[in-house]
Amino acid sequence: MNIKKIREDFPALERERNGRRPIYFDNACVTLKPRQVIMAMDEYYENFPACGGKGRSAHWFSQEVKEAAEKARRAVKEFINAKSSDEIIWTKNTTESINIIANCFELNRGDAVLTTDKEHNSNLVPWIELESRRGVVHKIVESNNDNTFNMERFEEMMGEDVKLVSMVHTSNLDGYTNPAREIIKIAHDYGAKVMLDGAQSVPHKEVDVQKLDVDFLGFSIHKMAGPSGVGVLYGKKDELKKLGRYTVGGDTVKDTFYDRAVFESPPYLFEAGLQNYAGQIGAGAAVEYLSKIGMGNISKHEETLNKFITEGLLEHEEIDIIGPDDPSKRSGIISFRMVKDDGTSLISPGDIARLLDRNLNIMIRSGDHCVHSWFNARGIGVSGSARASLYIYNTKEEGEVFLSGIDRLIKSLN
Amino acid sequence: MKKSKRIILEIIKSKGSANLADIESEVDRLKFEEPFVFEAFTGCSIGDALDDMVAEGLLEKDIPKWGIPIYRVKSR
Ligand SMILES: Cc1ncc(COP(=O)(O)O)c(C=O)c1O
Repeated sequence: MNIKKIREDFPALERERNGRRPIYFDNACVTLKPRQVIMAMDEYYENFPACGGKGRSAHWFSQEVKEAAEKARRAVKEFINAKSSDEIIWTKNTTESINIIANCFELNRGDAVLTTDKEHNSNLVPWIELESRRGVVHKIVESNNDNTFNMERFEEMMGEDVKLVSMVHTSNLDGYTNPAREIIKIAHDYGAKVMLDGAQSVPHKEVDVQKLDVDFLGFSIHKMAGPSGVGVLYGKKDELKKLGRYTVGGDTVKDTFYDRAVFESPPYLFEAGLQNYAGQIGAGAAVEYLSKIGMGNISKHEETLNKFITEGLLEHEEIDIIGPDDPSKRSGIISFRMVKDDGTSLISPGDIARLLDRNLNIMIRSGDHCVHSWFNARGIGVSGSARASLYIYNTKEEGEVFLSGIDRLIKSLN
Repeated sequence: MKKSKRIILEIIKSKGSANLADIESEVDRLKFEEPFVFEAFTGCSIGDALDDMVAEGLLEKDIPKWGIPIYRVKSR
């Protein structure tokens, strides 16, 4: 993997401020975009900026839109090794993918949905809503003390009442990856289906939906070198057919009369109205770009960098890393707090982020990372944590600059 | 004055001076003890509130180049 060459693909890395290049460590939020993706989207806007969709125009440009968008769908299908392109639904983002399942998967009063205690708000709030609106029971599997998955607790909580397990695959809080294959096997033994929140796994490691045997998987293209405003919901064909309807209107129907509609089948049933064609085409280019680099190479690179940065951070006794100590269990995420002996915050994560940005152009995230519930349960909801999250274009040299910044911050206190 | 700003002012006053971490930790401590603190700070950015308070002349802010900003109540 030639990082220098990869970096040349990302125009944003060529910018400068105060004589310094950017160091972009906020990849869990959104990644930068390579030229290949930008060009694919430009091609749509420059050459055939028309509508696609099954029942719409049949002219030259429209045909090109349809072909390009379906090619992108096939690329995504290959990327996660789905059986068929019909199992790939375009959404806006992971949040929408999860909301489709929350609204369309059959859940009745008293049925239970199981999540972990580390869910992003996008995989928490929909279930809180269902609990209050439809009497669905939301159960939470508490993690081990080091934030890893507690399989025993999970097995104890499984029962016939659990109809759906909806879980984060790789956590955006600490980078830990839940043992999905084992979880899915157990859930299936109890007759439950599984929705995986793949927002932080699909961009960073090989995710094979057939090997996992997962029923539903959601992810966001903007977290994987692609454009914003595009996400994916994967579902096994038979499971998608059982879902209720979501947003309906143009493109979700084959025919209509004044008093009834004949609905499309998935994936089109869930893709209402004119679509984000440029975004879909960009998504296809993004997954092709990542596939060429190789997902195995990407996860290995992030793990090596994470190890380097973790070792540097842990030289300071003030640093407390969230999640397992072992960086190989935290993919490309380093979520940390600078604390006093009593565990209260020494330097606010907000100050860490602002000072690194202002002095060294290092962009990290601070706050609760949309996992407020986890921080609130520990009485640190206002403080939160600082989070560096890595990707293919980050280098050891950038890691060194980051560590030097942390060093200076700590020294400034004395 | 907004409730959140009044609470921040009191925290800084009681400590003499405070950085953002001190204020956040104190709000974290009070948040689940005092319902009015919980209410005042839900959805509130303390960093933004501090900037406002400096602009409004309520606080002084020391900003060393690599140091953490420190806030003091402005004497009148
Ligand atoms: C684990 C996880 N789930 C869900 C989401 C929501 O993604 P989006 O905002 O793209 O819908 C995120 C975004 O950061 C995430 O990290």
